[in-house]
Amino acid sequence: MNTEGGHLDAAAADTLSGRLRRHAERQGDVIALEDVAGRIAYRDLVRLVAGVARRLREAGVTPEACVGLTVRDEIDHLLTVLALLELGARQVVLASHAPATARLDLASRVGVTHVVGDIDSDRIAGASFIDVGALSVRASDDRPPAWSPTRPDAGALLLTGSGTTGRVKLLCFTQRDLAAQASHPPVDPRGGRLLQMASAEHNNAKRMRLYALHAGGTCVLRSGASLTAHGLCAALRPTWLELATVHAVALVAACRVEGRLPESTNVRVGGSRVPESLRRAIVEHATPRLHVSYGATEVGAVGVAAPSMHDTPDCVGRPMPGVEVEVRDEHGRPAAPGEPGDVRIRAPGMARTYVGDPEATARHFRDGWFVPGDVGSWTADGRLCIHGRRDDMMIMNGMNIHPFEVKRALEAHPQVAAAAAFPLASDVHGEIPVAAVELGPGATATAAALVAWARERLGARAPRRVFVVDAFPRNAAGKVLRNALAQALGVHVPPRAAGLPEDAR
Amino acid sequence: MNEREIREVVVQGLEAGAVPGINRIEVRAAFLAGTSELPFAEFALDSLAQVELCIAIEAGLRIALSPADLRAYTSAGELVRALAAMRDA
Repeated sequence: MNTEGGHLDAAAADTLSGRLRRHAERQGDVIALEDVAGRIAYRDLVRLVAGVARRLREAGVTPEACVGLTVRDEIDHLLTVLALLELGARQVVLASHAPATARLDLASRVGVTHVVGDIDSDRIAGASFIDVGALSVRASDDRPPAWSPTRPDAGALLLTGSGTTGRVKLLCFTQRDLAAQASHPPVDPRGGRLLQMASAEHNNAKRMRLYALHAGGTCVLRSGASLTAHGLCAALRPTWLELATVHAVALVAACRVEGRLPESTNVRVGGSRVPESLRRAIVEHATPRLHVSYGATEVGAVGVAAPSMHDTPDCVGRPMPGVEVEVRDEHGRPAAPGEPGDVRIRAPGMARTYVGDPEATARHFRDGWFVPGDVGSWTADGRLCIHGRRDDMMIMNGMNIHPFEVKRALEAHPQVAAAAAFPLASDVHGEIPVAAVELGPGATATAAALVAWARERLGARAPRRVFVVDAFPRNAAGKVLRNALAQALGVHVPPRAAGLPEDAR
Repeated sequence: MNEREIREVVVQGLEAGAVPGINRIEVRAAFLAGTSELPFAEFALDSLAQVELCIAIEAGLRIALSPADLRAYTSAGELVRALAAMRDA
């Protein structure tokens, strides 16, 4: 156990809280957080975090609490995350862009006791509300950091994964898990300046920032700046610019007009498959220092293709140190180089279960391995290639969306008799979820009303277009033939989804 | 697809991006009727809203735009006319 003002014991030393304190002692002048408005050095960061932790305690947050975060500002968000880690309380993002019903559902699933929010509408029934303004997150605190006991093996960070049963999957990581994951980051943050284009409210973007702080690097933050990635690179000179494919497409467009990125900027693209055409465009118009990564919320970073590796389609590099990857053929044997098979992964700090979902746990966590449902292969020299998914998961801008959750949300509408969901192939967003419905007798619901209905329940995971059809094509057993349905509607599905599974009815 | 239908797609995209003001009936009605331009400068079209607008356009019209492409237009009305021209081309 740590004591106020004392030295860290071995167990706490490798937690994120412990590492921040060590950085403050050894490299206090190094910048931890920076945006266009200012900088926070590690020495000041630990004092700010300690002040926020103290005020959270005063507001009634104990290590047994579960705190929902609806905090939009990047620096306020990160300081609150770090303070909660120091307190040892569990935390989960109730994203500001999610519908109120989705935030309420997630809060009730994990037992949120407190919500830290920006505005009154961030309140959740049954949870104490703490206005982020009352935490005086940026206030200078002259008192020495009160070093509270950490709980390295207690659940600390709840992250949402994809939804396969109509509800998002939940993962719970301890401080020790996060520290272990930080040992295999997709890029080495030491001495670097990392700019994530995705918000800190996004699971993996938040984790990348935490990894950078664990290593003593500098997080460069957008913090509401209206600048594009190109403009931010010019203003803040990150050494690493980390993007989803949608950001990468926008970056290429900007670079065509405004010129290439600064020589010092490396680009990492991840979150979903990065097509060869996009890789070529980035190299041609933005920078030759392109890295393409592969990973999962469940295991963290798995591999990164270096700039020299893009001549091999779908290459995501060699597994990171400490990460084990196997590709198994249809008989469960190791696949030969070039032979596609099912990927499974073991990594330090990986999840072992989904919270409250034994069915999904049994499907994806087997014999100590995480089985993501991806199809991959090895090159002869040991590089991993990821070709797509075994199942029919849709991935839009790095967000996993299962057709079943879309189908279930639409079939909850009182006028919908049946629904089917499928991906629309997009060079910009990867895959866009769309759906078709059969209406019940006498129903008058319009496509636009059904889109709005789904958006209210699924938020960003909602179908962006709904087709109302007279009757689905079905096989003799009554199963919906989604591939035929997509073709009849003129929807171009991605090649890997051309054989969409039939929908069980 | 006529101009009114293209305007509906754009409204859906703005709604998905939670653009402030688009849910006001009079604002939406004037835009759908073609009597309002909805200048982007008057709306808080943040990066998330731009992505959502692009997704709606691609899902509804099969026209692929990136958020950076939107900077060529000063208003939603101007965007609608450009989309109509792209579909006719």
